[in-house]
Amino acid sequence: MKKHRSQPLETARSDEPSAKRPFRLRALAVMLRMVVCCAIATLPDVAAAQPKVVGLVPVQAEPAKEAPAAKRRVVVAAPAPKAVVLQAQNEGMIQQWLVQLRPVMLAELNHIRQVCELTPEQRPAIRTAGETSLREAAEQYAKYQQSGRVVRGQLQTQPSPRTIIRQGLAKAVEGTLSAEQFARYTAEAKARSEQRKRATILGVVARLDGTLSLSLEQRDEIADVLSSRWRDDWEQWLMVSRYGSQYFPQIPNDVLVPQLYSAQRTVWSGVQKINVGFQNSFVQPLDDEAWWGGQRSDEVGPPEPIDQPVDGEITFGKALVKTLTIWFGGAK
Amino acid sequence: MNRSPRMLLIALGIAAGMLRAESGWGAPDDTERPANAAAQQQVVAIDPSNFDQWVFQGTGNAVSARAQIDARFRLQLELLARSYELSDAQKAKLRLAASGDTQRFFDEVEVVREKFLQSQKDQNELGRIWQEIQPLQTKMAGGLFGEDSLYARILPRTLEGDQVARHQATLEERRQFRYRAAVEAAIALLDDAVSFEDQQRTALIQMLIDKTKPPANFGQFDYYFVMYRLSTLPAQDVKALVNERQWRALKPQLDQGRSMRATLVQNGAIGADDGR
Repeated sequence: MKKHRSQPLETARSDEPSAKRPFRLRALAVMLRMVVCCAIATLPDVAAAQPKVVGLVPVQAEPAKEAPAAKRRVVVAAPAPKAVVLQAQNEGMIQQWLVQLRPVMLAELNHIRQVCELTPEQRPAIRTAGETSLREAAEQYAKYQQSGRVVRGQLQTQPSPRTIIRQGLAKAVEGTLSAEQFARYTAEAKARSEQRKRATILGVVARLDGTLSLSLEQRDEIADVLSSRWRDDWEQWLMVSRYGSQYFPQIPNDVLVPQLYSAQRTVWSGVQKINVGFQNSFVQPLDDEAWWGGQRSDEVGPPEPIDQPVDGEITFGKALVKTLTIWFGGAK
Repeated sequence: MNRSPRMLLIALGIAAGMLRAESGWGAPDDTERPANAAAQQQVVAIDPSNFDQWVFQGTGNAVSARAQIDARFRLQLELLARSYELSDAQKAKLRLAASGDTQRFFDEVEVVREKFLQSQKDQNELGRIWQEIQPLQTKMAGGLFGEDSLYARILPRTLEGDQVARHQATLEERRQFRYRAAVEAAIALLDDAVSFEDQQRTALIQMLIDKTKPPANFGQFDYYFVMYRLSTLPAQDVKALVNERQWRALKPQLDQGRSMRATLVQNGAIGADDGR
């Protein structure tokens, strides 16, 4: 089973002091630190055995013409342990995000496949661009997570992995597709983004309406102001329903509060607002590596058609297990 | 054995020893456990203030929770008064009903709090109390003046003349608006699996809104509710909107929606006889 690191639900009140953490966690942290320290201690030995390895990243050999024969002996500087540990931690985090974000890349690739009628020759370049942009998104998200939400007193903007992947793919598509294919892709991608934005805004306004009993005019005004000040990372608000109806996304006060009147403001100030980090959708997109390699499709279809009866109803627990299996078990 | 693996083993040994000493992991036999029982109970003991955090969550404690409940009620009353020109007698009646609901809720909280304080050092008992805390959380989060409240039962009897019809129309309009939002959100999420084209997406949203009914209650199962509703539409109608590959991606979502029926009934989104 793939290891999952879910984006934490950060409530406005999640300021638990670290001293209160259970001792077991601290002991585990100590153990981990000791293991990492010992791993660092092993590095000089590894470096001696494999002189072209610096830290944990293999280094390409220099071209022979640039190094005179007499000076060809490779001197490897001992890596600074702290830097090596940070690099390893960073890479570990990136690997986790690569797994987490892969469904986003697959969804974007499938969208291109659906609307562009790609030739076998066009597919590999686009798949490669997808993998590259996936890596870029994972790196940016890992960096955001490592540096913390607030850096030098400034609240960091959460990167939108979906946007990074979309933009990376859009560039590749532009350079690969015919003018006609590209026009169709652009139109469909725009319509898709607009629907997602509309769904997000409607969802937030409906949620606010449920608690603040907005007037029809207020609904329209709030939808308009959210639309005009739209930020890509707000797309994550689509997932806030996963937490239950008591939670609200952190809508900036200057966006919402001016649209409310006094009694509504009082209620709004008391509701729970959460920072919705990246969450995967409820679904697992199909992958088809062979097709993207320019070969025949290797996808496997579902087991039975819809008009056959299902094997009775399942409980919530079973449904949850099934969903988690789809998310983390990898229905690749 | 060279130096580095040996160091690694020593470090692991020390770390494992620390864990064992503190947490009781790897105790050689059961005879060691009673000796540690008192220490373990101290670890389990939970500060009484946590109870308020659990029940009232973001609102923090009973005082601020009561203020939040009052604020929500005042907002509702203000809107009703503004929309239907309520008389003072009508307002007083609704205030009384709301204060009854609020009192009943805090009475329930105090009963559970007492149980919590009695059983603080018994982990098994705490587990049972947690079962009683969860409905309180849900009630607090969802608002005290929902369908089964005294307020909701009194309201239709308090309104007069065309106030009733106007109020029903407002509620129905809200329900439809919220359903539209739930459908749009569900299709946006489903898009990740099915990769709709714009025309397909639009047609599917319209089909759901035109041919299916909103849930009785909205909540965290809205996505599954929409999938459930989609699965109840004639398969050939849905299939006609998508191609073979998209259908293969859509089919598991419909199956999952259908399999959530019992959960949706349990959460009050649909009635037990829905679709039967």
